[in-house]
Amino acid sequence: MNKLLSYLRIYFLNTLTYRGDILLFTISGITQPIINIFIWLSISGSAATPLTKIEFIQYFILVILIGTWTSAWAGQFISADIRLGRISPFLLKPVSFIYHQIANNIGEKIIKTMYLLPFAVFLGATFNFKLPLTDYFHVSSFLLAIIFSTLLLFIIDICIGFGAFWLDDTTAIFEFFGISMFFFSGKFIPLAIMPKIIQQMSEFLPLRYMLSFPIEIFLGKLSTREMLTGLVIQSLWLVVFIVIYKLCWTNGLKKYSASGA
Amino acid sequence: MEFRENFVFWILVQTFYVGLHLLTINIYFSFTDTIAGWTKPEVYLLVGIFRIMEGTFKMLIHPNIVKLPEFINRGDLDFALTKPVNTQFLLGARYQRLDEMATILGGVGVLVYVYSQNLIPFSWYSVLSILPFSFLGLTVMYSLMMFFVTLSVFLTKMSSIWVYWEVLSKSLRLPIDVYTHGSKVFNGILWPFIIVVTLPAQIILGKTSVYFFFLEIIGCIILLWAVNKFWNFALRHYSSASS
Repeated sequence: MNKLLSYLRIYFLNTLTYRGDILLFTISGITQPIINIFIWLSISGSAATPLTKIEFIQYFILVILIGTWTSAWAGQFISADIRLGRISPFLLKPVSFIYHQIANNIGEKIIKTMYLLPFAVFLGATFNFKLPLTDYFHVSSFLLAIIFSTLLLFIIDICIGFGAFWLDDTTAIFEFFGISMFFFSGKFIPLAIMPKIIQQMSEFLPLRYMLSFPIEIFLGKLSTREMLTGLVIQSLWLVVFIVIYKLCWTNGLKKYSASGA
Repeated sequence: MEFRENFVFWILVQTFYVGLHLLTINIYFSFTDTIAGWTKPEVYLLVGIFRIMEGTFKMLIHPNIVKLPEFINRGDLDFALTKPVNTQFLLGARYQRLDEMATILGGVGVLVYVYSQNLIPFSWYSVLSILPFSFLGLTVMYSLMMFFVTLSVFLTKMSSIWVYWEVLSKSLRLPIDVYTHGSKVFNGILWPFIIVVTLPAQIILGKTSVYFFFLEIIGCIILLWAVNKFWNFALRHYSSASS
């Protein structure tokens, strides 16, 4: 734990050096949701939509915030590092490889949150968000859902990155993953707007549980029963991918040839 | 040719993205017939033209532009500056990415679909005018991107040029009216964005007067001129990291 904390400090300071870049990343992250708000505002102005104007705004603000907290980006870097033989130094260190990734992930998110917080408070006040703080069950399942979402996306992203142990180029898998996110995670279009078939599929696929699920809980769209089932499915997927992660890591290292070393 | 399997896959992915783009538009229009005064076929046409521009831009211009900050960061700009050619041109013509052909083809496919299904009445005038408009739109895209990149001469740590492109390309792929709702003030502020693809599509569709064509050309010239001035100004402040 101490090791993790000191790594966290290093990565936090490291990110601080590139705060200009992180600001840009944050801007690029909020572009699409803001565009979506505009689009749905123009649509719902003239037509009946499953969500009201205010709900669309709330939804996409949450996509920005929760999307930032659950986001993961290590996979692409890991796959490049594997291909170029650059993970060797990590293997020599007395700390598990994943600690670096966790520290990097959290370190960057702290800065991103610092950028987004004023913006979020302003918008939250404008569009009158109500967090049902008195309902402990609701709040705790929301927090749990966010933690699980973060872990799930983080692990899946790394597993895809590990694909580089066996494949020369993993861009294609990342593209495929991105496209599936489009349909099933609610990142671009709320699942409530999607055709029925996609909604039903999304309940079982892991993708909804990486973004849409905590948002749905927050907005109070789910019944107690739906929340509980969701959390169970979410944790099952988490277990599955942790197992895949372990398998990929141990088998992958046997394949790893440290090219260039 | 070494990565040709990947290349084939890339073409598939690009085609898929165009499909995804159209699908999104279909979802939007499943609730309403017009969005900010645009009908579905009209938005399709805009998407087709935009994809052609985007593909050309990413094939010929973008690979060079994204390398600029790196040059500046490492001080490599020195070499380019000593060459007896316009630096802006030299740095803009080094690399190409041929796989972006797929994006262009996707755009052409959309246009063929729109016209062949007669969603928009076919006329040689409108089809042929797509070409000059694409060229003009491309110069605007170039100017906008160069503006952002030139900024990075001052802010040397900002190596994330792709972010600017991300923001640009995402906000341009729909009619700008969606954001401005025809408000004169906002249209006035956003005119460089409007003349990339929204205005051309409007002219081709006959939604606005043909005289706006002159406005388009004047806009392009102003932007190119302004960006060139800005670039030259930035070069005078370039501090050459290595020497």
